[in-house]
Amino acid sequence: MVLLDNARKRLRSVLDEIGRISEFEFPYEGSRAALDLIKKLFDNRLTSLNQFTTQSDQGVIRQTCVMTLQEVDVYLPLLGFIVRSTNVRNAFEIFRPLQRMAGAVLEPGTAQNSRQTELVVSSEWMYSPFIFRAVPGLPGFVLIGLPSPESSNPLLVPLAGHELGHSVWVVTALGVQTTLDRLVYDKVAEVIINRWSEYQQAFPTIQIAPDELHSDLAAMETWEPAGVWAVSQVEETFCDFLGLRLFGTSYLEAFAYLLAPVIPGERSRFYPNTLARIASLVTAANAYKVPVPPGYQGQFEDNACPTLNRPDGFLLSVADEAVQNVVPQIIAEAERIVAASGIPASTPAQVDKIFRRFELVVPAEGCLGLPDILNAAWRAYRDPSFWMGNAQVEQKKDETLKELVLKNIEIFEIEQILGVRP
Amino acid sequence: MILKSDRLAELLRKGNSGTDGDPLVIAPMLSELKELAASGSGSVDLRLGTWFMTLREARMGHLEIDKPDGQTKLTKSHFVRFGAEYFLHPQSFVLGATLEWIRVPMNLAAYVIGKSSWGRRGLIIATATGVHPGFKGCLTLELSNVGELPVAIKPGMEICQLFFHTVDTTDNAVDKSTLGGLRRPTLGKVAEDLIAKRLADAYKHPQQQPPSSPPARPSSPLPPVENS
Repeated sequence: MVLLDNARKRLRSVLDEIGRISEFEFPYEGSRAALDLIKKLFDNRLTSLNQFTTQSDQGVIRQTCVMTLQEVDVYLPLLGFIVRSTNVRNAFEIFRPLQRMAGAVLEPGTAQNSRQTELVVSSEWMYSPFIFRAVPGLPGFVLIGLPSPESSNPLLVPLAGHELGHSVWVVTALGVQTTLDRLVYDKVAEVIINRWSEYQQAFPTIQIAPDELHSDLAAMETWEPAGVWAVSQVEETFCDFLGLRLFGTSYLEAFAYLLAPVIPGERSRFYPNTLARIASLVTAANAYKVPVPPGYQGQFEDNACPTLNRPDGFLLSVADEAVQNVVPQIIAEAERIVAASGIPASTPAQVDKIFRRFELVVPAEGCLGLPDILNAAWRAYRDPSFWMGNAQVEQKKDETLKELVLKNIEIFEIEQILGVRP
Repeated sequence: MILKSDRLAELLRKGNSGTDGDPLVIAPMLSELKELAASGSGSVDLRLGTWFMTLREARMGHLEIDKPDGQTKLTKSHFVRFGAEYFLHPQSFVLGATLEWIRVPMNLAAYVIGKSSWGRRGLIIATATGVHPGFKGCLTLELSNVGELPVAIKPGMEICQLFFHTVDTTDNAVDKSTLGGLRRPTLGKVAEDLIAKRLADAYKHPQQQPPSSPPARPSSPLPPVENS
């Protein structure tokens, strides 16, 4: 019963902490709703534990304790994430426009006031922006974190488009994963068949004909890692394209600001290597007619490849090639998702209109979308002569621009609430 | 000369749509300009924003206005979303900001005045009321409750009014305010008062002076004063 006693005490500690967190100042209801759901989950689990008696089956008790510990392990980082979502370092103004965008993308065809999508935007103590994917206890929640030192920087909001892509990926009804999974697995097999002699050298014990690649169990086991890596790379590429299609050039700029020239460390097999990733982004930008900043690709460099044995080296190169072969289909999938959402693409005319207002150090009214505001912001940020000669703001251009952009985003949101039409 | 509402509405109509010159802008302009023009008043109403700032009383024995303490050390920020309330208790003080971002052209200046309906209920707004020509940003509001009952203030509510005046000349007019360009309330920086410092230094006991370094002479437009 020591096991059970410890499990109960652990849960009470978690619930006490949730109680303390619930007294925080919550900027928006998404964070509180997530906290309430987690509390409910742990309340239910504690109730289950409390129902055990000395007569209960020890195996069942042990198994329940394991599950309880797993849940604490899963949800504790989420509680930290929720806590950080309340920190005033965050740019709370971006919350509602992002939530509206997430709802439109994840629930196309559903009326705005009927959408179930909940959003938690937080700051993270890991540099690379990330998302908690498909948390079982939080259905319909999109959880997006930006690195803490940049969480008040509206110029990086476009990266939320990438994180939103991961949510799109797991929504079965949207069909992206199903479509691209199958496609990339087929491409992996196709690439292996095209490079058959290399495959035979990498796996000399497999003595099959190319047409047995899909049916021979031992052979399937050999190339399974390439499929897994390729699928993960396709997911990342899709997320890049979704962010790009939603936010236009500002996505490219934000991506370079945060990640160029390269994230330190060895190349991950689950991501395309940096230069290939950027080349794909540029291909997609051309397809979407998104202007690419001059010298963009030159900002980046590849990660060093890990030392791999011959089979793994071959499989990784196969995965990379397969992903490159499905780039056109990924471009089409991101386009399909954004078109269905009804979110208008950023236009040069709108961006120019907002930029002209920024020149006067005032926010623009009557904006059509968040991407236009962010593209105008990046244009101003990149322009070395912007506000030159304006004594009040010249020396603090970056700070003032961020403040102005956040105020513009807030005004855009107010106009959406009040139904103000340009 | 105070600008009347029809003139204000005309300036705002031009300023809120144009991209040239030195316009007057209030954004968002949530009131109908037609109604403002017809109101016959001499001011524009402004609304309360979502950001607030309070002092961290427990961190300081007292506030020395001329010490360059960091704002983050002295203050705490709060975000109150639309639909939520901030309760300002009697004898309490909080900094807020206007919802509107203001741009004042060089030929105008403005004064922030509280609304009488709030003042009569004990809520006093803005004691440092001048808005200089060239100001750009949200206005920091000093909100205090001098009444007997707590007051619930809500982001988005009308909180104050701006009276605009014309300025005689815009020659050499350059706004160098450090308070502009912000969407949140700010303490601002208090510029070092060299005259006050020299007066204070003159009355320091010699033993309080640092022994090895002679007192620095602050640069000042006034001639040096010998302490006899």
